[in-house]
Amino acid sequence: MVELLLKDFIVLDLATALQVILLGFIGGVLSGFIGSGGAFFMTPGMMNLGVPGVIAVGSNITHKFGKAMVGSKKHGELGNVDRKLGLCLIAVSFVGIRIAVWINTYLFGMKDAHGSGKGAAADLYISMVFVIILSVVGASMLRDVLSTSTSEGGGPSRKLAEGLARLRLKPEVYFPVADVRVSVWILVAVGLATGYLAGTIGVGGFIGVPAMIYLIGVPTAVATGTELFLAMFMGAFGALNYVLEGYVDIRLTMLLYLGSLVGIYIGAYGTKVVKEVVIRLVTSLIILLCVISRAIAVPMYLRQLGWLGIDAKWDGPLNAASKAMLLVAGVSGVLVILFNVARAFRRQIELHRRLATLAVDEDA
Amino acid sequence: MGLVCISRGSYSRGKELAESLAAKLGWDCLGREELVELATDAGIAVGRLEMAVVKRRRFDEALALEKEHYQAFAAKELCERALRGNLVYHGRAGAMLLRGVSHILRIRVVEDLESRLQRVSERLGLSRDKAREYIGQLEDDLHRWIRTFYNIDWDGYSNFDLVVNLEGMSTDAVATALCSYAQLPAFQETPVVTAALHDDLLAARARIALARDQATYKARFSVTALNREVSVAYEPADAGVAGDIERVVRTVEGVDAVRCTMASTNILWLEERFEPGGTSFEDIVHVAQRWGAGVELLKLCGGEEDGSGEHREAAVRRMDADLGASPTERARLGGIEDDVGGGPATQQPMQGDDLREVWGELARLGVAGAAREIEADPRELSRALDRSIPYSLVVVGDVFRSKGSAAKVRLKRELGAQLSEALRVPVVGVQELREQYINRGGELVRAVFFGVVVVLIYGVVFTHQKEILALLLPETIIEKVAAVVALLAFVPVVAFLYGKVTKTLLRLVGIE
Repeated sequence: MVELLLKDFIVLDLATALQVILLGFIGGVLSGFIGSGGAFFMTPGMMNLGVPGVIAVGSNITHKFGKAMVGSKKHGELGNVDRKLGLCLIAVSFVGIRIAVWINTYLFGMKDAHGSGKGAAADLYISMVFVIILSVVGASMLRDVLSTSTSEGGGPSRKLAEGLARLRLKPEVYFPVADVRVSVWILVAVGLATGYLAGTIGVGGFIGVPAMIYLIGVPTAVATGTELFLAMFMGAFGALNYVLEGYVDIRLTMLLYLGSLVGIYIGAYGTKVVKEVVIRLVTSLIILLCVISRAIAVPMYLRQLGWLGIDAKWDGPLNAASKAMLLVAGVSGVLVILFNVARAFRRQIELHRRLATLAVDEDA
Repeated sequence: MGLVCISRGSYSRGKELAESLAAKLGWDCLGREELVELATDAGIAVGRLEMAVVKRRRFDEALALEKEHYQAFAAKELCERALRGNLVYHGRAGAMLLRGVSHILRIRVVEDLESRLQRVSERLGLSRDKAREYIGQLEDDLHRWIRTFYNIDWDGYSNFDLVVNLEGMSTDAVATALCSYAQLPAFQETPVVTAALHDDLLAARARIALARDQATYKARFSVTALNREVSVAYEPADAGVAGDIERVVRTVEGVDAVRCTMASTNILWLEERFEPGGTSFEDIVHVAQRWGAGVELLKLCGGEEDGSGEHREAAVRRMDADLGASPTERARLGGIEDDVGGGPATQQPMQGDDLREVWGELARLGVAGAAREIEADPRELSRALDRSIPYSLVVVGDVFRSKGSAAKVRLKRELGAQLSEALRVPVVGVQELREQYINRGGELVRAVFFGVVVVLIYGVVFTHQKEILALLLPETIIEKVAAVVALLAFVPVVAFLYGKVTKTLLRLVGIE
């Protein structure tokens, strides 16, 4: 049982703090490398450390807010942010976030089967949403990578976007930066889904970016920039909602920053030295391993709710297995990235050494 | 050598016009369909590219490679045929493949929708509405193709020398008019243009050779050539094939030297006169080596801003010396060259010693990108720039030298804004480069200061955990508002301060 400091906030000893920093670092490296927020790793990681799911989500969404604020400024300078589209999506996504916070808060308040604690229902719900959504994302990405060599072109088809565009669902809005005209109904659906997922598991970008590209037809760079702009507001709104409920542990947010802001630079550097197909392969495998990790913990929550008749002594091994799997996913992914970064460094040094030798020879 | 490139829309009689013009001029005629057939026979999957564009698929690495191969093949065909004789090419936007070559007549053909609808209805037996939809889809696909391949807006007519509307006119009459246009001095062969075409041909052949070799076919390259020297830039992810590049490129006939650069991005450096070993040179090399970037040199000369006859005569004299042109050839050059400066942005192969010297020095240091000399008003630069090149930074050196200091500042500012808008990257002057990207003293002091603040913030939070957390458990409305405001103000500040510290520290170890 995790010791509590105040209400639902856990006691942070040095070992736990270092583990949160490590989670932040791994999440940051993956985030810089993949281009997503890294929440898919950090949220379950904190849950494995005994942080209640709702606090893990609340602290992570607050962490995401600060990071997105810095990132969207950079994209804004490069003209990759469609503010009009962003603002439209923000308005709707707030409703999605509000729904998510309400469900999480409600479930968190439910007593478990033994009346000895709370949070199992919320943990189960968050884990199930996590498993379902990320299974679909990870599997599609993996299928995409594996079929690249045989298909007629890379990436998923845009038939869906074209089909939706042909429906001409009125009213439509034109977005000048992205240069697309899109039905308000599609915007509402995308905004709600993005907000709901950001509020539930903190990974709105996994849905928001592909939705903007494939459902709305936004260019990739603009989709990424607009998503960061969106993430900034969604993060702020999510943080606002969770703090009002008392579910933001600022210590966790700050520890995550210690690792993530270092990791994000290393991950982003990795994208310069690793082939795109490898990036996509590594990403999909990490996501799927994270899904397995979370799925392993599900029986534990089911037992706590009295929906599965297994012995309570299994909680420990299940939690340990889930934690180990997550660690394997994160550490192996980070090692692949760091290995490539180190190799690129070595090659660069060799190249400069060779050039220096050549220069000496020429001078001679 | 004469080259006319006609960019045609669907069912707009562009092909008919091109064939008529070629017949009247007595030139060869090459259509896109024939070019695609040749490329397909050569093993390039043009069909996959077409499908990817039509179905709006994302271009992954395999498709990006296929695109590079096709572009190299198309450039090779155009250059070879143009150098063999005279050529009229008709297709989508083939002229954009030879952006670095001046004296090509680039024509865009359009026609009114009504005539096109009628033509589609007659040929395909479609109803009027279906025909309209069909043409709309074709046009969309064409726009996407041109945007994907050349990163330009097809409707941006400044990319063409002439836009011809065929509405109510016969192709025969228009072709007759175009014959006269094609005879203008601005579109005639000059030794400089021939040299540029030879360079483009060499670069295209080198790229094709790299695509055909077992060791290098999977890697992405950017290949340029200059006076028989071939420069190959490869990405860090393809560093494994670096050792094979020279071996493969050496097999191409006509290559004197091969320069290889590992670059994940490019820095564009504009000057009217380059100074090897100068402070600017050192600063740019410093940044390029830190970023793993290639430095592309762009020398500006001629144009309105530097319209002194002295400069242009010097350029022609230098050109004669470099190309060994006889007095007769020089006489032939004179009138034609006079037309260059006042015309649209045109590029020429490097002739200046300063450019050659700086380029050689950059190559020696492993950061050389392409090098070009442009005769144009700097304000027309955006037309001559290749938008598909991933630039990270543009450095504007000492340009507008002939202007007074106030005008120079204004013109440089305008040029910076224009380039920033066109390329969407930071544009800085040499001084700003030093201040923003090199002079680390101030940055380091700031980072140390921020670091101290961060340590204090973390110290306070972690030594007063209970009190801080209690603030985040608001009960009353006022407490709730205070908690929200405090959190939303505090978190970005921590992220910003600590972000600055990590950025500076990682820069120090070479990660940025």
